[in-house]
Amino acid sequence: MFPRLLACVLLCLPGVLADEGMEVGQRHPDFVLPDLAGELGGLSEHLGQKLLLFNFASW
Amino acid sequence: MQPYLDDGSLRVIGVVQEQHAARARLYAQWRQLDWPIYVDSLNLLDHRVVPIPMLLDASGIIRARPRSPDALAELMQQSFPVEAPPVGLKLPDATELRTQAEALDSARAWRDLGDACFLTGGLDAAVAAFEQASLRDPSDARARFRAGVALKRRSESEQAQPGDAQAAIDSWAQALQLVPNQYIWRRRVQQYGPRLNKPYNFYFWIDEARQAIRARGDAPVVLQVEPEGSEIATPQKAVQVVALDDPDPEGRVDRDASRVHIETLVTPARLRPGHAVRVRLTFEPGAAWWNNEAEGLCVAGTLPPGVELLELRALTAAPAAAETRERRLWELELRISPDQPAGPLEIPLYVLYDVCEDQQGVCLRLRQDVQLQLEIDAAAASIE
Repeated sequence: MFPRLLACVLLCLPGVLADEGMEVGQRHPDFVLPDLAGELGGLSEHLGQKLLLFNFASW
Repeated sequence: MQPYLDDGSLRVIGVVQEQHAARARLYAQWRQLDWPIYVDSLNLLDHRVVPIPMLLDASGIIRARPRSPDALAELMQQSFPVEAPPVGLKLPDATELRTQAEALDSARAWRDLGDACFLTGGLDAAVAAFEQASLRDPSDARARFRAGVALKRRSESEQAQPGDAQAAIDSWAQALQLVPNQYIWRRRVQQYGPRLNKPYNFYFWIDEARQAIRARGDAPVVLQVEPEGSEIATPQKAVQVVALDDPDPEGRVDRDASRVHIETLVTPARLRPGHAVRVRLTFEPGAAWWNNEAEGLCVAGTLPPGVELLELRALTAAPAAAETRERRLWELELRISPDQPAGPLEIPLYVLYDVCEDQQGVCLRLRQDVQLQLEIDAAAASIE
């Protein structure tokens, strides 16, 4: 699973790996966003165990 | 990692930075991503770059940014102190946010209203709220970027208003000028911009994705807005100047005022000397019909000194039928001389085309003038 995920997110934007903003040790801000079906949902629905959160793009 | 997923000790979710949700759906279908994915078109999470993997503990604290399966496996062996998880966030009520925005009259309050309106599908209200935010604080880059997102989405909807697409590009360029190291925003402008500024073809994967999905026996997700022209163009690094025809230099061909509607999209409209600009021309025949048995559509003119044509091409092929009324697209790319003085730069073009009043009706070759309006400014945002 993980290699496929990494392939998706690490290969989709070659050369750009840096990040700014949310730091390790901080609470990730909750959010309300539409999912792929257009239904609104958020981060807090998925907490309760460890969570791998991928921020990515298709381009 | 599969054991962690199977035993429920790890969950995976994604947040995708994408203007068009359907493109994210197609990507997820192709890659067989079966975890929840949220679409952050407005860039509400404020990420400046992607990809960013994050490992969060049970209470939502960011514990690491694992860059490899081994790093993740190591983190899965660690235990973290459990704090109370945050109370589930709910989307604020737009009516309450409007009341708040009118009372506070701050850029932030209007921007919050714009966010809520956009997420609930109120594009007109979102555009208006983001514009109010920009008026309250012209340096609110987020409001300008999000206005662009809402304008672009409206331009592709039934609520489209003339100039929406250009206003979206202009808003994104303004946001980028305020925060030049925001690469998510930069990509949005580059998407529609010159090939000279493209790092790569952003949507090269779509054809491959569709083929792979069909090979699995599935039907690919349908895209409401198909990437076209500059969106799927390959970068061009070498400059090749091409000639622009001028078959009607004295302007003798009859002008058309109503049969064909032409919309221009200039990316970016405000640019530095020496930079390039991509222009999309969209032709809607309205009540008229294209006469496909005649000479065909032609984009022409005489470019002013200091402006070079690098590319000119039709994105839609003329159909086989004698008379049709489809939307047609052309794109051209221009480069402005490094010596071009600052200020407005008008580029007069014209278009010749053959239309018929009706099927089997009177057919004419007509001309319509198109004036491109650029602003040359050494301080404009660079989209390279």
